[in-house]
Amino acid sequence: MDINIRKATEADKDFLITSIIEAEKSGGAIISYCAIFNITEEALHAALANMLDEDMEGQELNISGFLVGEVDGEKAAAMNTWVENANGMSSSMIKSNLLMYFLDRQALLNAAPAISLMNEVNIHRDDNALQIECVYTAEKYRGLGLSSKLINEHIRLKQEVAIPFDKVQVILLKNNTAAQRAYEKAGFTVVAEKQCADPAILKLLPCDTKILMEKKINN
Amino acid sequence: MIRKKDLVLTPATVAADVPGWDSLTHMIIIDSIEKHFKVKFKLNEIMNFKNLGDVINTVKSKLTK
Repeated sequence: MDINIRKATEADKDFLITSIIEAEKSGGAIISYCAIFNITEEALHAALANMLDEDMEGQELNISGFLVGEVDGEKAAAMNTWVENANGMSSSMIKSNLLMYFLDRQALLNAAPAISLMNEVNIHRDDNALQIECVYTAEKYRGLGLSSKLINEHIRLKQEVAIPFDKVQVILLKNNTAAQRAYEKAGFTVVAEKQCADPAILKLLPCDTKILMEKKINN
Repeated sequence: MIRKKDLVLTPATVAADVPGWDSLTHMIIIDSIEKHFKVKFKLNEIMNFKNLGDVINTVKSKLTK
């Protein structure tokens, strides 16, 4: 079995959109972007395509932050990383700007109560920490260690560029125990947890609690 | 939006200086500015707003065109 990890290109766009959406689902049926903004999966697909085209650094909805894992030449896994606030703007602010630009403005303003609810489980990402997002492995390629290989390659590549970081962070839904175990095996520990007491959050997310895991890096 | 009696805004003010200026508030503020001044920001303009002064200068430049 031949495993290859490489940088994503524009030709991977559809696979990256699938990765973003599947990572959002986190094994469940809810796509939080669709639930929050009351849009269809098709509309989300179109908006994500536009956002990926912009390739804005510093958040997860871009092409250049992704690595793709291939098995015997087939696209099998993807993962995005960036260094938080490296250019003076937080990932949440950059993403807000993109959403504001590419989603229907009124739908976005109508989503204010849902966004407020989501803020209750929002865990702060540390500045200058490498952030992992949009982690996806196609079902038939699970168990091959693709996620670990993607993390290691992301760290290696990001250490080559001039942005220093001394830890890697990932935010997970607490019910994603398989992912949590995999990160623990890779040396991550849980450092923060946030729960939303309002049961309405379960219309937006498959779980009411998020956790932040991190791993220190020796440069 | 942001209701603070003693809030002082200057051209150098950045979102992080203002308690409550989160990503949602940010979207509402940008939308309100566009509606109030009847202007439309381009994506690269919004992405380059480093502080309130940048927003003011961009609005001024659009209004004088």
